[in-house]
Amino acid sequence: MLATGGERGNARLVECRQPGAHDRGIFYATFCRRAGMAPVCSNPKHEITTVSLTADDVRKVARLARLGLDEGAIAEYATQLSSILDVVDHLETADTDNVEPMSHPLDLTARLRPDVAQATVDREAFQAIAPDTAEGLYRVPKVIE
Amino acid sequence: MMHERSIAELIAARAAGEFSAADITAAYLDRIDTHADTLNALITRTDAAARERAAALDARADGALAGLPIIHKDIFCTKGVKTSCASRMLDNFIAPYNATVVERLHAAGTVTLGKANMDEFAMGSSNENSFYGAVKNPWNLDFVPGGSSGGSAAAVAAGLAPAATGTDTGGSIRQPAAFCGVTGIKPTYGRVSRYGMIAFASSLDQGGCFARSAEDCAHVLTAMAGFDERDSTSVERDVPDYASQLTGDISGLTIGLPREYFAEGLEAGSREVIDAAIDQMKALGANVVEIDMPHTDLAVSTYYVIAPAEASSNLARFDGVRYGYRCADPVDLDDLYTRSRAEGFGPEVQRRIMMGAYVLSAGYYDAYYLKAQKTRRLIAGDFHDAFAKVDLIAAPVTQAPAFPIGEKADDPVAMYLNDVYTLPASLAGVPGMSVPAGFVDGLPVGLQLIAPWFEEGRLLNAAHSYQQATDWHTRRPPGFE
Repeated sequence: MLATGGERGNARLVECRQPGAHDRGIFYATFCRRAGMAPVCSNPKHEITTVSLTADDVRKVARLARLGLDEGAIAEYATQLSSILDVVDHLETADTDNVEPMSHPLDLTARLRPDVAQATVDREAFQAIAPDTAEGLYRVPKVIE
Repeated sequence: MMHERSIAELIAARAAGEFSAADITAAYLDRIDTHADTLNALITRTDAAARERAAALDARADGALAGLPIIHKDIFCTKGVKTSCASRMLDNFIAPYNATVVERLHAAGTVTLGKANMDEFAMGSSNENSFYGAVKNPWNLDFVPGGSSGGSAAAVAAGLAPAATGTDTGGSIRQPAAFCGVTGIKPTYGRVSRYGMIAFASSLDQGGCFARSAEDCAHVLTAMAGFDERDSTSVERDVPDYASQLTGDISGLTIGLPREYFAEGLEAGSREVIDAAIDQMKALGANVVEIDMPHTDLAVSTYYVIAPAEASSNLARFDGVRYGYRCADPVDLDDLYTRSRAEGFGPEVQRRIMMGAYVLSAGYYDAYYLKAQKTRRLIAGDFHDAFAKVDLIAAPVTQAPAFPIGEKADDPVAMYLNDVYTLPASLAGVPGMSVPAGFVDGLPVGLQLIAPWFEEGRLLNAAHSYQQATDWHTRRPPGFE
């Protein structure tokens, strides 16, 4: 089942990397994922592999990011993040052999300054906006029993 | 009417004693009273401080923009004033210092009227991702104003201030400027200090401004831009007086039209508007040539790896310990971190943090982040090649005008694809503008102009020349005249 042109507004484009006749080389897959189906190409002989995040994958990245997600939200995040990865997977079509990674748009490196003490922050002012402080320190729940 | 005047006219009239800074501020505060709530354009109003400031300026006027009212996007830290980034996470954050942009504009004599609504942490293209609710487009209140600087764009369009600051990471100045029919400029990466501008994606973030015309933007940008030792990515390079570069002459300028920006996807109505704008540039003496930017189609994929990766790192600082939101009754430190972040961040911010954590995680870094850094170089290479042949690039800002509130809210990917024409310039770090160029069904359409690195003067002059010959930028939304 393929999304048609009319559904483009809400469809996500993924490139089929196999040779052969295509509907402009792309197919529409959000639709398929929403319907619980694997994304398909307009050429029915092409089987598409895309990265789908499982609920466990989402739990793992949420853990890495220290985000305490509700169990009920995980399935939706898995679908959405998988959809985003389908877009991102388009990167694979680019030939980047012998291309240097670009970490700064002007290819500049960070400027250094002399290692001289400068004005420090006003602790009282900065701690006035903290959730919980005592004696100039930040208070958090007990870490060591 | 006060709000019909250009920035230069306001400054000159005040200098001539026609009216005071207090008069100007009062006139704009009146407009805010009338319209700000309808649009939900502001998160915080600073009326009392503004009146006090204007009175002080009248007693001791100095600065190139003395008495000019301005609205700051709520991403810029303003000392003693709530700086929320439109997030529950920072709903209680009173900034203890000023962003450099705020400091510089203050030194030039501006009067801050308030803080503009935006997408939470600048993540969004519709201004629907705000803890304080969606901003409305003054041209049609059922439509989005664009994002992430939607409140700034809507405020200028509705005449709530002559100018507003914004930030652009992937199009967050140009796209709302286009959707709201105002002029917006994203300068070269490193041109405007990021100090005190809450970080989203540090290799892309750049501050800029909105105003009604390129000439107005030139005045504001001259005051905002420049080297700042407190921002390690700030570029040590002199800032010209941009207003003095507005000759109004673009004869002999070569403008490139990238085929990829006019391909499938660009809606017919918007295309007509852009074609007419380009014909106008030709009539003004510009040479127009078609060019190829063959890696344009990689921009969305590249951006949605790099920006979330950097966001997940930057937003690690929000831990519920030193400032910002802390969950109630944390049982232990881990609970404090995970619950404060889950409750403090909205869904789009959480999606991007998770996306970033995923592409940076062990085993995926090379396939995603490193790969995207390489495709970023290919995209930047398209601009190097283009600017070897042309002086300026012209293109649409978006595929279509503003969309109805709610239309794309549930589909992050549809929202991301909206940025297809603005992301490449962001990834390359070049300056870009949106210039009002016409309407489709009563909604504004923006012409995007892109210049080589640090050629903001050329960019502003091209926009200014176009605005000397057209009046699209002077139109006001019905009900906001």
